[in-house]
Amino acid sequence: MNYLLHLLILFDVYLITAISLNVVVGYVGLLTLAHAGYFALGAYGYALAALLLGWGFVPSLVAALAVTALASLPLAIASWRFRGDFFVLFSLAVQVLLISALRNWHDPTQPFGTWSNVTNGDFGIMNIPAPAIGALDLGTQGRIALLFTLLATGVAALAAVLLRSPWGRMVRAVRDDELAARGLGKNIHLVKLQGIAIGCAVAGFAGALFASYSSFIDPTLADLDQSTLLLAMIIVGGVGSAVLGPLVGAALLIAIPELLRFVHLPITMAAELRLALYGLLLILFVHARPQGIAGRYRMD
Amino acid sequence: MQLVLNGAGSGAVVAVLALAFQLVYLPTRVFHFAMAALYAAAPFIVWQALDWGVPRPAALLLGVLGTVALSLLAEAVNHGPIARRSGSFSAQLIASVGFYIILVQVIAVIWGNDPKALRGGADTVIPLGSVVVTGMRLWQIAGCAALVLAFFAWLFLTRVGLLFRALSDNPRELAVRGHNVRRLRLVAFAISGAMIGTVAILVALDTGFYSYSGLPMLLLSVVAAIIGGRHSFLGAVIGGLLLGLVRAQVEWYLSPRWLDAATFVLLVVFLLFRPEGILARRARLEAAA
Repeated sequence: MNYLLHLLILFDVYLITAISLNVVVGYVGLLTLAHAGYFALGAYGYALAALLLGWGFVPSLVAALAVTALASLPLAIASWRFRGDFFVLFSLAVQVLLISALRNWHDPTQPFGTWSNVTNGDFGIMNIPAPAIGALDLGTQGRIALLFTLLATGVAALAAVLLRSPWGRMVRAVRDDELAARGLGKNIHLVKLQGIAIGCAVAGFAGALFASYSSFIDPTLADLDQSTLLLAMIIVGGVGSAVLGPLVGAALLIAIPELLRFVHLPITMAAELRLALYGLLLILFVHARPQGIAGRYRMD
Repeated sequence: MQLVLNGAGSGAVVAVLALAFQLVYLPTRVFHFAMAALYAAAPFIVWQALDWGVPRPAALLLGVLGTVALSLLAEAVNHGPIARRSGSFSAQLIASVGFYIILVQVIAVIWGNDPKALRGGADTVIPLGSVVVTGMRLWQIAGCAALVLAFFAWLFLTRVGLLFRALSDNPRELAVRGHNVRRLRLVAFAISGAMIGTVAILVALDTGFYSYSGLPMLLLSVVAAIIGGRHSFLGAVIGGLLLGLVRAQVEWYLSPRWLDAATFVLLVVFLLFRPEGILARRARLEAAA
């Protein structure tokens, strides 16, 4: 039972991340490799606000949202000028800068929490407070599962409403024909800025939730491999449909290792084969069904 | 002076890798992410061959040939079919990422995740006036220089090289004129694979290797290709050398921890202020002519 709850919690976190990445890739229409960086940034934002400033659960979450939204600004500015391969490169640069900041804003001679040692480097941050609202302790696994499921449902509903709203239509218009949208007097810079800020901030939100559940985070959260894994998740699930694609993708990401459990593999090989399977799925989908299982949009 | 030499050493490596990246990127428009996996695979093939008792020179050759084979595989099953259905840039990139993930995980399953070494005994140290250089470093620089020179000789002196330049310039028109674009694409992947394999083995002989060692090198070579100039093969080489020199200075005067950050700040500066790269003007003139 505990294990099932654990899976449910991870599924919720992945679902929120997938929805956020889908906003950037499927709606704004830009392939990004920096998403794991924003996820990690949100996790660190939450952890630092909660541990160093002593803020509660909700204010720390808001802090994580604000920090990641602000940090998405370089990506948004890049999206004004670049698309396609240039934008991918720029997002790669953002991801490397984020992970090296998390790794290196660290001085082993100083205690954690001083200005020269903010992130504690590769040692990561421990004892991150669990969710709690007022006097209500939400720290048990069951309560976290309930809370996260509610939040994930809320994010999914919000995404569905938002992306079907006139604003969502405008984002798609900018994605499909930037020039036409501009010709109709739409402020395409603002639309891209909003889309990217929402996508990155929600990823940071998911990262903050993850930090509050796992209570330990380290810079490997921001690895390029994590970014490619997230990308694999939503591309297999399908981009461009507000909730269904990310839902399928997140479910697959959770289900594949569990299914592999039934094939009795040596424990050391299981992790590698799992990743290799994602790679294989990625190739198969690009060849046979580029829009993913439940997607509505083919990237170009 | 020592700094410059160190920089030139790592710069030469990056230059060849950037050239290998550009070699695939210009004619086929494939963002060769899987290059990182090829780079990681080459020394493992050599290691395995040595383990089976193959003599050392043959094992090194086998490593290069194996990398070429993997590179051709990537084009044959992955990028070629997508290109024939005129798949988009993103599709090619995603497919390449998929190939990278699979290959690295296969390496990890077969050979494990622990770092390995190929070194055959202690290195010799050669003093050159006021600076010192190790024998392996010298081999690296010499090998890279030879690769670059051989490539440019091929590119500018042979007929296939001419076709190759045409392919990089305008693939569609070349196909319309009845040349075999598919075969030329295979040539691109083969030469690129040979370069990656050679450099990966040269580096592995010096410093050791593990299954994830390709990714940082891929990032460096992409940055080098961009700052050097996106429409020229020579630009990639210049970008690589420049990057190596800059990184050696940063490492010495600032801190090795911020090396990657410095590299990518350089990339961002170039993307914002000179997205065409150093050799831009020449490329534009060529396009106009």
